[in-house]
Amino acid sequence: MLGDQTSLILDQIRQASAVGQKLQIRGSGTKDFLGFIAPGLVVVETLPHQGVINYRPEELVVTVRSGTRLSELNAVLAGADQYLAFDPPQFGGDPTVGGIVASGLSGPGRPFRGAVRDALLGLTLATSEGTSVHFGGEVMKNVAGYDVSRLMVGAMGTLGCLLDVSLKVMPKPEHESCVSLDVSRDTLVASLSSWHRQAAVTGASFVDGKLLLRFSGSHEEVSRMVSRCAGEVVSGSVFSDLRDLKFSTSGDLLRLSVAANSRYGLDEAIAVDWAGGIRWLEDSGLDFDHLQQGHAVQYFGRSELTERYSPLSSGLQNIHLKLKQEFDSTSLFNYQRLYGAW
Amino acid sequence: MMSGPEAITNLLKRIPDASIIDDPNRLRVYESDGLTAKKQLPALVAIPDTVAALQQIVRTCYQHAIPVVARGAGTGLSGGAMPHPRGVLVSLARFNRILEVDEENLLARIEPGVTNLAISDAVSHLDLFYAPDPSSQVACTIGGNVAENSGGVHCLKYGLTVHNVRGLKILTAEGDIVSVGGVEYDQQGFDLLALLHGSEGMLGIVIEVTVNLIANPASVAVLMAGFDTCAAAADAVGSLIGQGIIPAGLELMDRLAIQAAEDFVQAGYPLDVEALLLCELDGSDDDVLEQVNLVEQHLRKCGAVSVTVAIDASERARLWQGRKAAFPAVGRISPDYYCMDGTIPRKQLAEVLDRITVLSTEYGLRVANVFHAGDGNLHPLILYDANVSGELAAAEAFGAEILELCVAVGGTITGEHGVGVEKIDQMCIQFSDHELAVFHGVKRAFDIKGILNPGKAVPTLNRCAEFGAMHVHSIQASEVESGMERF
Repeated sequence: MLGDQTSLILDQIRQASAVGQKLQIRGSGTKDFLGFIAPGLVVVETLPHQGVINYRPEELVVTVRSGTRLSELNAVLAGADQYLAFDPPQFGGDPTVGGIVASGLSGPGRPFRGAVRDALLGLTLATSEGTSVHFGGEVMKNVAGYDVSRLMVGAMGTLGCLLDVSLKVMPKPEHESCVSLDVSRDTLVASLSSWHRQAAVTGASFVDGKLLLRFSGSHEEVSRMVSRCAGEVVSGSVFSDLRDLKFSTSGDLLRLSVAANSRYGLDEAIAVDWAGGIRWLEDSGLDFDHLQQGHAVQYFGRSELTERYSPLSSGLQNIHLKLKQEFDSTSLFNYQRLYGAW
Repeated sequence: MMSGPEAITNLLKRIPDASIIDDPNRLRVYESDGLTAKKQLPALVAIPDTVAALQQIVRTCYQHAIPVVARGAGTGLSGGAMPHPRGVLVSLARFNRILEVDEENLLARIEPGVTNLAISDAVSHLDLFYAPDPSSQVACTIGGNVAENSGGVHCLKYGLTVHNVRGLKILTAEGDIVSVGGVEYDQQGFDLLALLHGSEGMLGIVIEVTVNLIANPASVAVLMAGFDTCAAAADAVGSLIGQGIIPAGLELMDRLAIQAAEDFVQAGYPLDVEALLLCELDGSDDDVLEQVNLVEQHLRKCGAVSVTVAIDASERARLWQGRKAAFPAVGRISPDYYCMDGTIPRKQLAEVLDRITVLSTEYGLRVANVFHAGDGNLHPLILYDANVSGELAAAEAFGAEILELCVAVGGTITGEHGVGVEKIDQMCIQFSDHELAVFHGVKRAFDIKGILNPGKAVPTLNRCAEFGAMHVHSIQASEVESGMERF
């Protein structure tokens, strides 16, 4: 049965809480590899909680249940020539909107078109007490109360189970073209930085020794930019392949997030995304305690690591721990998924 | 102040570079922010010169459980920086340096007391700008912008403060320095950066901000369209965006606002229309040319009786000057005004504006509308005279009705001005007890003693229970009087 499963999910949470059973929140499982999944958790399936609740193209807003699959949402939006500007990764599957928001991962267009958190307008959350609470809304601007909605982005379900989500959607660009250019690693950072500033650029990345650029806008503008950069025109799939990590061949992949112009990890990177801000490293063997800049997540490989995210500063750890205690003091939700202590 | 006020004053006065003020005449300057209807003298004011001094002040206050209210330029419109009678008001005015402009990463690192406009001014030679532009941008500070998650004319396309800040350094209630976000595009763990935006100084004191810089668009045009009715202008807004066009800014002014602005700055607005839309388009030369034609045609189809296009920079500035000066312009035609900030779905604009007109007649108070129509963010200015007995109370009751109307049509009580002390009762209408309890949990996680800006933004459950009882009573009374149902 598909549709509104709110009361079933709330019941499951209340029952688990009563007997001290810990829960793993799971949509379609496209990000099962991400973070640590502790043994012995009982799964809360959000996938049956499907459906578009409200879509108003002229308001640029869509509200869906968290188990709604990306493919379904994309199809609905395409009907009105709209799309999700943050272009979430699919990792070869069909993620749910809940998982997309909880992981907070955005595609290669992120520096130009914004992230998941930028598009999130509001959500309904199942709390660890089994109540349903709503924050934000369907309007573009809302500063009533703390921004609890966005707090859920990247929390990997450790603060509550997402039920419904409202997202800002955007009109599709009239035209889009991608090009591939030769570039040396020595000039890569400067090159990415200068393209970042150009109008119509909506992607600036580096894979297989090539600089990849994406231009979006009117036909005239996109053609002008394509002829200006004198590269080889390639299929738009170069960016979706990068987004879904299709470049990775080894079983060991680390995502490093740093300042876009940093040299750190640049020489070893097998791919660079977000105009320089993300470096993908294979077989890095990087010890989180020796991370010199930014922060990192071990995506694949190194299964001996139960801490898959690099540690927070002590000040941030303290705030995270206290928030976790307030939202979910018994670690009912996604125990250890983000950090081992909770 | 709490225990042993003199002893604590002396403790604070001994902190080097803390610049403590306790002379009642000098405290008077800080008695309110932009919401001048709410006044309160603080026990003390501190204007620290250094982070170390600020840190010592906060640590001392934390130890003795003394309220701390942070203040930037005091331009806020919801009383978020209204002092606490037993507390220290901390002015961040002296933290006014731009620490670094990082052209390669398109970032600037600045202190909280830097004014909003000063950021764009400091990077204009690099052909860059900082996008959020509240109308008070000449005076308001970036620290306050973060605390309120300020918007402005250009957030329709470029987003609010939360979309344009990459990192913050905050001082916690305990007086510790914590960095949130930074030069990277994303953060680890929870999105604390978003949580701090709009938290009205209740979760931490901002001591450094890293903002995104954006390349100036190659081309900009402003269209000014006049309409015979407010409803037609309002409907044109949703219809335009439904066409897939996202202007950089899309603002609506009604007749009273147009006249006041025109009298004040002579922006060249037509005086024979009921409403004006100002629509800014930016991008590459080709894109802007194409869009200007599309938008002009569309606005005429929606009933625009006049459309003027301004390309020249000084002509554009003149058109915007009227809009940006609209609040002070309205201030010239009324002794006092009360500015509301509800946000609603765009398709409800015409209906809600209509209803506000009806309420205006009922309350016998004039209203000028000048607002961010593209975002559905209303700014009805209720005109009143505080010297006329009962008018302030009537204005507040009228304002409260507008906010409740916004919630009823699926919107929110505040889009960008914050809750502060002003809309705290309406929070009880927008949120359930469970939801308010979540807010209180967030507050506890950051500030267990509740010393940071207490009494603002989030009502206690007791307060809501009392407000609920009062509210039911007043609804019944007004239904009897007016004989009509409320929204």
